[in-house]
Amino acid sequence: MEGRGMKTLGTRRYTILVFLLFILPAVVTIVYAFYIPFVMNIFYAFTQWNGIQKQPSFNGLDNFKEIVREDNRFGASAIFTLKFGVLYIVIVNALSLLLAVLLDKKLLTRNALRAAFYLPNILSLVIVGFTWKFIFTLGFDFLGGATHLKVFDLSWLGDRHLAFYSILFVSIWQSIGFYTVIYIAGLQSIPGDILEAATIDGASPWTRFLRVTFPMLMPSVTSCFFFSLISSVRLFDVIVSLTGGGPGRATASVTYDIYTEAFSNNRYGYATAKTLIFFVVILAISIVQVRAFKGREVEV
Amino acid sequence: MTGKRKAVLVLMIILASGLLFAQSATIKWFAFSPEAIDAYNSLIAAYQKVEPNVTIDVEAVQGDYPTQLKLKLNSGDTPDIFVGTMGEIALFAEYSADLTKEPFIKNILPSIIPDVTYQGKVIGIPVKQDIEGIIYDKKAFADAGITALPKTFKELDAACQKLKAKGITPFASGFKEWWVYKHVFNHFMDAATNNSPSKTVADFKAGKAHFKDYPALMRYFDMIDLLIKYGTPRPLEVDFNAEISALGSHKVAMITGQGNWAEAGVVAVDPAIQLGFMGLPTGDDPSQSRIVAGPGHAWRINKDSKNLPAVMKFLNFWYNNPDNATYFTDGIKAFSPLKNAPTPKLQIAVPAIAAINKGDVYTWASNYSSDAFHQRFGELVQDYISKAKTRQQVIDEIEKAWMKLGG
Repeated sequence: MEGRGMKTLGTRRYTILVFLLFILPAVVTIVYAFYIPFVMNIFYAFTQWNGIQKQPSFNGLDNFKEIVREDNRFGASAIFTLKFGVLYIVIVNALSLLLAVLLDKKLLTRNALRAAFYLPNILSLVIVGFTWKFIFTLGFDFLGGATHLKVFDLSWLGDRHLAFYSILFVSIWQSIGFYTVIYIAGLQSIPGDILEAATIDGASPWTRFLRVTFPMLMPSVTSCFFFSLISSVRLFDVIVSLTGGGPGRATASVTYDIYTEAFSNNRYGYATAKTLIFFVVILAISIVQVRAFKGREVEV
Repeated sequence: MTGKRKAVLVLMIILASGLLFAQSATIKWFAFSPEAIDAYNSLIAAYQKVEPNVTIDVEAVQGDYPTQLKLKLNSGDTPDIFVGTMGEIALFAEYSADLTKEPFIKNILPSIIPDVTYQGKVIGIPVKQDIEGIIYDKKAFADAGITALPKTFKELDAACQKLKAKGITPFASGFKEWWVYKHVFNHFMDAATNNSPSKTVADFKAGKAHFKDYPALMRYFDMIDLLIKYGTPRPLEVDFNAEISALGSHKVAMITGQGNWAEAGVVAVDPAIQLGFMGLPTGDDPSQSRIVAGPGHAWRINKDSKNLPAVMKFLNFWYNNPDNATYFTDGIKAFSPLKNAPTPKLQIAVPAIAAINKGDVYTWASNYSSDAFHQRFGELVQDYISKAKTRQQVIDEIEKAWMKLGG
């Protein structure tokens, strides 16, 4: 081919060009659907717009000033999200790790149990929310009448403190299967001979778990922590279907607060400013978390 | 060309021509109140007998209507017909067509026309007229020995005591819903301003008015206390459906914040129920216990619609055709906004019509503020009920929200 008149690309440049052409559709879609709206959002954060007028009006840093000085609902929702996040991440990881260890043992009903725990995860969050709303209100009414236990008479969705735990419970119930599956896979990838060696060396089951299993499980722990952090921060569907942010805004997370600000209060520009602040905070937390965990991974 | 390629080409031509022919007028109607979908569909069916070439695509949504409407407006998919509250006339003005010269406008009650006018142009069509007050179970009242309808706080308290003595829970209030609070508040705003709330609401929005200047408004919180005291347990969990089914299944004697839109649901639970309707007491003056009556929502027509002539024809059929009179009264079961309209076939319409004809009613004061404010208002009163905030804290927050979100 070299003798011909036309210019030919070197093999390396040709490979790169083919590679770029293959990922081009995906890149175009992501830029169009994600990055461009993100940049547009940054622009909207400095405007006052109700989402209906055809022209937003520029208002400088007013939105940010208002968030810092006056918006106590945003602060309250941030505290709610923080409380929820900490409890959710700790509880869901601890419980699913425990479940994974239990379901890794050679039980007869192991497969059925694994399926049962994973099942809630395939249900849509909205369905889950509405089903549990029914259980908490009418279901508990009936159970309270049948058993006369005080727990069924409490207002699980109407009391500010109990509503928090209802949402926490439903979120954990729905997602625990997902993390259990990841941990089971992690457990199964630990080479059996290392565990045997530890047993021969005289390690008790608890020491075995703490010194051998858990460090080797670190990649799974990193993934699960990361996923659960993202899930807790994204909490929205369960709130909308279970409590509607109520009673009186007590269960509004940051996402819910931003959503109502944009679409109920008709303050799209202001809501976008809140979104930007939220984005920066989450980015910072994610970077810190991944760095902290990556350093502790052990590879064989 | 091979046979296979010919077949593909023919198929593509058929598809393309199908798409071309689909350009015949389709009217996109984005409606609310999904419970009225049968009424919408029979209206469309009746129109198609007259104009078979027009397709009307109706979509009825309840929960997230404002959000979905904003999405449609911003993505260029503006519906030909959409709805907003009477208080939001100015908000959608950029998108609303001028209807002042259309024939059907003359058919609407002249008293409502100013509410849908903006800068001298009629840009909205009243959807219907709603009534709101206390709906009660006549049998429960009879069983408890209540003969005279309570018109003051004292009388209402006494009536509730009688109901409790008979083991009947007096009230179910849908306190999970944000809009129940604004419905009940209407009565107090009208009582405080002698049924002319617009200037006072404007003062609140400008930060010039305060609750403490209007003792009648403060009694709103006394009413909330009463409704909680004599209401179902766990009031903040009761939503609209739970409220109407509580009345329909005779678990309670009265429901508040509801009106004509609620009757169908109650009757669905017990078709034999006998319902009465009365005003909400606002204090110690019996003449200030009235029902609220008037229009609440208005249809807007997309100014830039490609099918404007077809839409106007449809509207003329809808609002100008005597054969269509039953759409309002039997179809959507509400009071018609048209002149000389018959009464709807509702049990609660009977006591209401007498009051309406005497002019002994209150207006929808909530029309003067945006729904954004009312949602915040509802949340704040929920905080009061759950004792997260004191009465004064809630009042301060309401006054702040009125300035910021009042619209």
